[in-house]
Amino acid sequence: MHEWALVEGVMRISEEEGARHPGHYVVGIELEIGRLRQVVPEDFRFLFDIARRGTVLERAELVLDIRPVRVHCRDCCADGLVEEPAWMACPRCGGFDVEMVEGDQMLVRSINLEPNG
Amino acid sequence: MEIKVLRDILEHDGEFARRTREDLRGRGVLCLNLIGAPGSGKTTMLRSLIALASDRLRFGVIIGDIASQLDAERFSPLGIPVVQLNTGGACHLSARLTRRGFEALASNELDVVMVENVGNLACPAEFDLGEDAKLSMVSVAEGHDKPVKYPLLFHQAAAHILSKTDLDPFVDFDRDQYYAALNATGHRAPVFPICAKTGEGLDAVIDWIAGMLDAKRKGREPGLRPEA
Ligand SMILES: Nc1nc2c(ncn2[C@@H]2O[C@H](COP(=O)(O)OP(=O)(O)OP(=O)(O)O)[C@@H](O)[C@H]2O)c(=O)[nH]1
Ligand SMILES: [Mg+2]
Ligand SMILES: [Zn+2]
Repeated sequence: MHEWALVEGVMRISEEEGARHPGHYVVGIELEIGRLRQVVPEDFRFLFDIARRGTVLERAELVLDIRPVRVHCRDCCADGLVEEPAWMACPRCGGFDVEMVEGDQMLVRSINLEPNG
Repeated sequence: MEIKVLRDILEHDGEFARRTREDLRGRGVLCLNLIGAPGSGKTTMLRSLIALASDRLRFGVIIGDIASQLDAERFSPLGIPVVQLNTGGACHLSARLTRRGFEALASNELDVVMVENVGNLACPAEFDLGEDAKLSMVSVAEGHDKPVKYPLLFHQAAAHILSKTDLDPFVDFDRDQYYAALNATGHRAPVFPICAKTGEGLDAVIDWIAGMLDAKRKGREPGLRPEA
């Protein structure tokens, strides 16, 4: 259940970003999480709903964008998606000499603010 | 009004990892983060390996468990510095907690700090502690499918330990399938089959660690992934 550590990180970043824009409240927050990070969206949302009470995120809509694993093949230069994160094969030639382009990120992508009132 | 943030969710813990990495670089100390399931044989291997390598390398150990000092006590015959950290329920070591371990070891002249993470194949892989490399450990009794089921660790590890090879005759561990799954992580990291009971295979692990240390001290960062 390392999702708690992630929720904690999201809360911390939101408090900091929110404090930079006094007179506003957070209506939405978008996270971008690569599939390789093994985050369980339901667990994350459950903990997020507990943690956000009485914080800047109290009224924020959470968007969890789980990103696929994308690789670049060093053999045939193809770019493409990997269906099964445990099997990092080139979608074109099937080779394993691939480089991950995305899929292991864990970001607060954006925050949506509205003026108070 | 939408504000682009693009900040790493774990950046706060990452800051502790960054400081640890800087300290270790300054002191020329190699740090390896050993990750495997409960009972896969992490402590047993560390004990045997450190005893075997004692004339070559000065080791310190940081052990993470949810509770108890049991694992730390198992090192007392070796007379090396050991710090036991208790996470109090957390399924992994954080960089913040592990820093306490590094601070407690700081007064010792060391070559290598081995971190034994909380027994768990999934969560510890998410957290950078400031180590130079992660090591995966799977015992043959757990089955060859572990890299397929827990991809992140096996994707990140710079080397893989296959432990308890003495149990091979009693279990159906298919090495070909295990190697095929490791191959499919997209990078080649060495695999070390070992038996901590007999010491078989440990010399190769020690040589690999010594090579990593040498590379680090010569300014070639060993890095998380061997080929990156
Ligand atoms: N047969 C055999 N048993 C082993 C070997 N290595 C460890 N064991 C046994 O496996 C059990 C667990 O070993 P530990 O070293 O405590 O495992 P661990 O990974 O440190 O466990 P946690 O700290 O609880 O996560 C013990 O009973 C060991 O004696 C081995 O090479 N062969
Ligand atoms: Mg142990
Ligand atoms: Zn290809």
